[in-house]
Formats: sequence, C-alpha cells, structure tokens
Amino acid sequence: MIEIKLPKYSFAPSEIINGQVEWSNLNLTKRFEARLMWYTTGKGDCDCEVVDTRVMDATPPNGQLKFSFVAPVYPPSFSGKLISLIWAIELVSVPEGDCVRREIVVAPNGSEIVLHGN
Amino acid sequence: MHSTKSISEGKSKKQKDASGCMLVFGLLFFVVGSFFFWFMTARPLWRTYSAQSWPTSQATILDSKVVESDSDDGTSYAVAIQFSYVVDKQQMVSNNWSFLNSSVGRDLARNTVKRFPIGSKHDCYYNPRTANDAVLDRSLRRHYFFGFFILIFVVVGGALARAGWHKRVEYKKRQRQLTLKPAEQNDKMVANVAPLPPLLLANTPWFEFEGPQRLKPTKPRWQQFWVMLGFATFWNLVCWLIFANVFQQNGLFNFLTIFVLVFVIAGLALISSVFYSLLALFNPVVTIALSEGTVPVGAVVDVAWETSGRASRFRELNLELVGTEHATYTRGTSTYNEQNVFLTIPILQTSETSVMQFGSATVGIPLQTVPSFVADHNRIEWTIDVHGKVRGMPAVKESMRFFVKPNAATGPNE
Repeated sequence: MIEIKLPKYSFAPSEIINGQVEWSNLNLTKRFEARLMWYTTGKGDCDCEVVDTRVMDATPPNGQLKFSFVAPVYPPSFSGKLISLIWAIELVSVPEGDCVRREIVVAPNGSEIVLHGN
Repeated sequence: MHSTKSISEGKSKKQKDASGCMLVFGLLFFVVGSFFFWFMTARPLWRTYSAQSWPTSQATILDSKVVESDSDDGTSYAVAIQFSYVVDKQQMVSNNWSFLNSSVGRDLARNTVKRFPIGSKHDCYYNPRTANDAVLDRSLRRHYFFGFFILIFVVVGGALARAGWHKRVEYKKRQRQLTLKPAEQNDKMVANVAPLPPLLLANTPWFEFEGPQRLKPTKPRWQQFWVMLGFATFWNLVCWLIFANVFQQNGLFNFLTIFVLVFVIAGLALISSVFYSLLALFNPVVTIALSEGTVPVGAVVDVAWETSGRASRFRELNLELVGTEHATYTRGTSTYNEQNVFLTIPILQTSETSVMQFGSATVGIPLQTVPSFVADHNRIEWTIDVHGKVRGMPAVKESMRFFVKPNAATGPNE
C-alpha cells in the first residue's frame, strides 16, 4: 500500500509543499517518482502537464520518505462552466507502475478561483 | 486519495503521438489529393486551355470502340479511339480523343464512338512543339470539374498537417521550457511579477506580448471575406455542376434533382454571405491600444480607441473587456468547440460621434480571476470586444486578444 500525506491541501503560489510518502508490503518497488502536475477536467478533452518531479529510492517492504515542491505561480487552480484546472501530486512506484494521486489547490490565497458563467 | 492510472504518463505520450499522426496523415492526404487533383482536373484544364491555340490537321479514325471494365463497384466505360493525322508530310498516330484520363459514363462513351466511327475524317489539333501530341476534342468538358471534389482532401490534409506541425512545435517548445534553468527563465519575466520557481513556466502564452500593444482582431475582416468567398465558390461550383448533370439526365421533377436543388439554394445563401462580408470590409475600423499588452490579475490598464473612416456612420459603439473559456472536445470522429463568457466588463457605450472618434478609459482586471491559459484542448482567453451598429451596413463585431498574467502580490510572502 502507498499513501501520500500532506499537512494541508491548499497552497498559495511560491509556498513550499512538504509531503511524505508511506508504503508497506511492497517487495518489488525500487523507487518512487513524485510528480507535481496539473490536468484539466470538464467539457474539453483532457490536457495535462508535469511541472516538477522528485525521484526517491525505496527500501522494501515498508518505509517512508519526505519530499517537497514549490507551489507554482501559474496556472492557478480554477473551476469554470466548461473547464476546471486541477493540481495534483502523483506518486508512481517503479517498476510496478502503481499510481496514487492527491489533488491539491494551488491558487492565490490558497483558494480555487471560481469562474461565473453568463 | 486515488489509486489509479497515471494521468501524466498516458497523456503526454498520447499528445506527442497524436501530433505525429496528424502530420503524417495530413501530408499523405495532401500529397495524394494534390496528385489526383493534378491528373484529374488541373492538367486536363491546362491542356484544354493550351489546345485552343494548337494548329489543325485532318484525322482519319483507325479504331473506335467502348471498353467496358467490370469491378465490385459495377461496370466502368472508357473510350478507345485511335486516329492518324499528317504533320509536315509525316504520318502520326494518337490515342487521345480528349484530355480525359479517367473512365466516363456509358452514354458519353457510346455517343463518342458514334461520333467518331472507323474510317471517318475529322479535324484534330496537335501540339506545335511535340507533334505526336494530338487530340480530337479540345472542348471544355464538365467531367474535368468533378476533380474539384478532391480539393476537399487537399484542403483537409493541408490543415491537418499544419495543425500537426503546430502541435509538434508547441510540444517541443514546452519541453524546452521545462528544461530551462531558473536564470534563463527570470530574464524573460517582467519586473512587477515575482521570480517564478524553477521549471514552472510551461504554458505561459504571454512572453511576446509585454509592453504597450496595438491589438489585432482575432478574425480579420479580409480573412473572413476570403474564407467565405473561397468556400462559396467551391460549394457553388460543385453543386451547380452536379445539378446540371442530374437535371440533364432526369429533368426537374425528379427526387434526385430536387435533393440536389436544396444544396444549390444553400449555395445561393452562401453567395449572399459573401456580399455581406464584402460590405463589412467598408465599415469604419476601430483600433484599440493598451498601455500594457499583458496585464497582471488585479491591475488596471489604459484602453485607447480610435476610429478610422467616418465614425458618424456608427449609430452606437460598445467596447467590453471579456473573459472566455474555450473547450475543444471530440465525440466519435467529430471535433467540437464550445465557449462560455465568464466575465464582461463594460468599457464604453456611446452614441456620441466625438467619443466614438477617439478616447481612452481605464479598466481593472478583478483580483479573483484566472490568467490567460492556453493548452491543446482548453484555453482561457481575454479580449477587448468591439460592437458597433452601423447605419445601413452589417454590424461591426470584432474581438481583440490581450493577455492576463498572474500577479506576484498574490503569493505567500507579499
């Protein structure tokens, strides 16, 4: 089992995102790749971008590791009538390719921007 | 927390592959379509035009028959005529009765063979530069124009290849931005935005739009006119040719003729749209300039306008600052675009000529809003929209794009 632990889920631009990955009963995993990324949901087809990556060596079968990212200034988390942009930290185990994802908010004052339609 | 399939891995690979496929398929369509268009339409048309000035000789028909070929699609018919003629006391033989390279309809094939029976004598036309190139019928045939259908493949292929190339360039540009060093990135930022953290500049669309800017319409009037003219010409050419053919064979009171007639009527509506966009070219032009082409969220910007042409022709002029979401999505094999205006801020609403002629105003971008955003399928666009009601002419409706960028003051340290 893999788990991402974060002290909070909303971040302002340039704020440090400190996180921790905990795992148990993983015998094959050699390393973890933590990705800071955004993706879109809504009416339009999905766009996504990985903006930063941390690679961490794993010790089987159990353990925990810390990682950190800097919250980006752009693009901010927003939610509109057609498009929502969601930031997330995605953790992938290598070589298995198992993936867990934790959604976060990265926006001014740490609150998602809501776009009001006409 | 989700335990799921990685979005980032699948998506980024898919985007890259898609651009490559688009480029390859687009080029394939374009090249093959151009090849067929050249042989079926462009070349015969060009040769027909050239042959109008070719000298004449007397031809004797040596062989004349209809060649039938059976295939899964049915029977096709071709005309095989061989004739001899004399140029400078030298006897020549040719197999070209016309410049048609493809098979023809059964009636045309039979009528042509009847027209050129074996042993009969007719005028033929030979190329003065290569005398063995001769033809019996140099008239313009409507069959040549059917090849214009192939132009659809050429245009779609070209557009697909262009889009694929654009996507590929964008992808590589983004990859390069991701590998920029922090110092290189900071050089490109303006002073009133805090330095961005390393590796986080992907998808920033405003790099080349800093400083005072004169805005350009997203769809220029002349472009709209030419697109409309090209589309209407193509549509009408194809529809009228088909209609003429169907009408000749079946008469007016026939289901097929009436069905094609609907498309002909739609073509007439398109012609009226061409005149509409032509009239729009003569409307007064409103030029918009901003004190800053890339405005931070929460900041204000000076908007100046000037009308060239007679501003008095406007009954009313409205300027608005508009924020719009644009989403592109695929359902089956079709691609759709949808847009939603999430913010409208009035800048000017006037019917006074002196104010319409030129003026300026200050407008603020709200603090709690989203900057410009451009991705492959989704984007946030900021525009100044011009709406002008013109006396006796089509209304002026133009959107001019500018950029909104994040504000450094919204970070945690400010």
